[in-house]
Amino acid sequence: MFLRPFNLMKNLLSYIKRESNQENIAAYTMLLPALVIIGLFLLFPAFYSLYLSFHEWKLIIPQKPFVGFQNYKALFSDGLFWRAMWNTVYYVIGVVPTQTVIALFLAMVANRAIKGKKFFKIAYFLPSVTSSVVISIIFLHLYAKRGLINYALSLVGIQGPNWLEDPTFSLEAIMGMNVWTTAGYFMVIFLAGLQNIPDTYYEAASVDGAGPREKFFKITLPLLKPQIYFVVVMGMIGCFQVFDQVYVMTSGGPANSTTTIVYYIYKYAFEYFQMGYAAAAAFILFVIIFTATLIQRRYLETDISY
Amino acid sequence: MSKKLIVGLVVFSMLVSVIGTVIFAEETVRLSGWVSSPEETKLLKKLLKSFEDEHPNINVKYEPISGNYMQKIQTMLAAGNAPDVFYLDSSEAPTLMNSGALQPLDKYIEETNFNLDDFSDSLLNGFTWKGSVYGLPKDVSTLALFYNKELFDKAGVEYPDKSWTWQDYISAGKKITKDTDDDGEIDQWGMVLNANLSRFLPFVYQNEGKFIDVEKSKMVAGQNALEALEFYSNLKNKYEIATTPSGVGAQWLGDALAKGNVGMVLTGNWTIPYMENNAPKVEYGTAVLPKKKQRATLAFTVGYVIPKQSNKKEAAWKLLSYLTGKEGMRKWTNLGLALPSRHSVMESFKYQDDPLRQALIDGIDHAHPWQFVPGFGPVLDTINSELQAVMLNGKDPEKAIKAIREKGNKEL
Repeated sequence: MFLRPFNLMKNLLSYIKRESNQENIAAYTMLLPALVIIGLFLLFPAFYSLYLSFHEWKLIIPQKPFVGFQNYKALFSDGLFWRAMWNTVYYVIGVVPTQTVIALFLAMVANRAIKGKKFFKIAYFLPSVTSSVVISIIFLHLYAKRGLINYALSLVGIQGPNWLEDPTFSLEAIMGMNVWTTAGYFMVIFLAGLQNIPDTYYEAASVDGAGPREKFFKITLPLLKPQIYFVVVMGMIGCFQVFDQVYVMTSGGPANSTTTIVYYIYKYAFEYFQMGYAAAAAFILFVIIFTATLIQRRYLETDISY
Repeated sequence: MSKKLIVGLVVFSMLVSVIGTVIFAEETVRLSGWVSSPEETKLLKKLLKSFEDEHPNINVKYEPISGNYMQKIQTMLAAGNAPDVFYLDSSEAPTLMNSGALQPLDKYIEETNFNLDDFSDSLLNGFTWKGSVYGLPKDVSTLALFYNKELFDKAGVEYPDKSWTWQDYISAGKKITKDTDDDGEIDQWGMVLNANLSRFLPFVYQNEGKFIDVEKSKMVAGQNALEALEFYSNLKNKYEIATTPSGVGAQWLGDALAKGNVGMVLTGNWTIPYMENNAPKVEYGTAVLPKKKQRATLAFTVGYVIPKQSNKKEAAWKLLSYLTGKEGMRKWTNLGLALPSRHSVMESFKYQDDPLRQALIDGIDHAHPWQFVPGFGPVLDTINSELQAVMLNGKDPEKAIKAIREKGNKEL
């Protein structure tokens, strides 16, 4: 018994002394700070929230009794949880394809020799380096009853709604803003992909008599597959996690029309202080994003490089 | 400087501080509250200064909290570094009192012969849990009907008074609501309403209904609550004499009144200083809320509490009892933001004869406390969402009440 720690030390020392291990040791030593940070701020909280999801924890009461699957059961029977889930899925389905198509379109335009190309590139990219809270506050004004958007609509004779206060339009209004914000960032990704496609392919296709439509569907799109995969996955994860815009602009309202799953989690964790319940909801979100990513990986990812 | 000198200095300064603590026994008490206006902060600091003058061995460190107050307080309580005395809204009190995080004050009240009879019962009840007193109300605010005199004069409607009933909202509202510039859009409204329980609940009480049975911790929203909701939503959706604050480009109801194109709003004391500063030209009056089956309004009260984890409870109690004592409360309520919660202070209240505050003071007699049961947060949010669905989306009130009952009975 008493010899054990001593043996361990001895083994460790002999391991360190062996020449062939030196490289490994150096590598792990250099990795150590990153490993500690990732472990402490990513892995530990992730597993701890899984642990919490099986307990009841009210934050100010230190006891955390084990409740088994009760949090999950309560979640599944909560109408608001399903409402939030539906809102989020609707958001993903609405935003991801739209922003992908728009980003691709912008990238194709920017890839041509047009005047003021640089200006447009910067103009479209700017929103993605702006704080989402700042953007949300600006859009609060744009979407107001007497805001700029409704003024523009009134010029063509349409009386616009009170976008964010009308449950019929509130979620769509935030979705529109999100597309505007992220499309520019994804445009840059597509642009990089487009510039990687050698001109020779297009030239060869032209010689063979291919029109612009064939070129797009037979050359551009297949060769952009890695970028499309990246854009769709990142876009999807971002949309599943939509929170800040909702928090700033509508607080989940009106009538829960903009309550998304992360906002729901936030409410339960930091306003009602039902940490275990919120952790269960967070874990379900994790499972959903994980599965959706796996499915996309199956159909979209490609390791073929041209 | 030599090493010895440094060491000597360090030891000396430590000695001084130790001796200082023993001789002067100076204690620092931390106090936290939210910040609602610069005047309020200034006055509180002045109050704290006069407390320190009376208690030379107690220092008060004022640590105001901005942002989400309850979030910060709950996190501090969980982390064990909560302030020794802090504000607590009566609506949040049950959750905290039930959790065991607060210090019962009975012992201190008894030891110092602190007179509780001077406080209004219903307000003190807000901070009483299972027979123990956990906090003392520092002030109270009630809701009244604020009306724009000019619009009433123009429409030829008499000012609201005690004889008003629900029907009068409609008849006055119809006369005031107008499209003044003939562009097809209404730009002068009879009322502005909030799709929020804190403004709608008086209607439920006036109709002798209620949402929750506090004793049984059960949702009881029934026929009377439904009728109130139907009436409330009809004001906007059927009679079209009311809109929401954003409909007139306002942030809240007081702000809506300040716009000058709104006939009536339900709001409280805090609106009076706001109007003075932001809309001195809008002439307005106040009246008690119109009745239905009975007269009712809401009382919002804030108390001072001490957390159980505080290790300076004696000093904290001295501060708490000073701030809620006669002198402290008199100075505090003279600011005009809220009304005194002590009968004796009310008698000598600076604004006792102020016509604007009369309806608010009268309201205390028939006010129901803005308070529910522990863990009411999710239910309250559901009620507000359903109210929004009814008001903004024309949802059937009956379905809304049903959804509220279901959620309530699931959570409680």
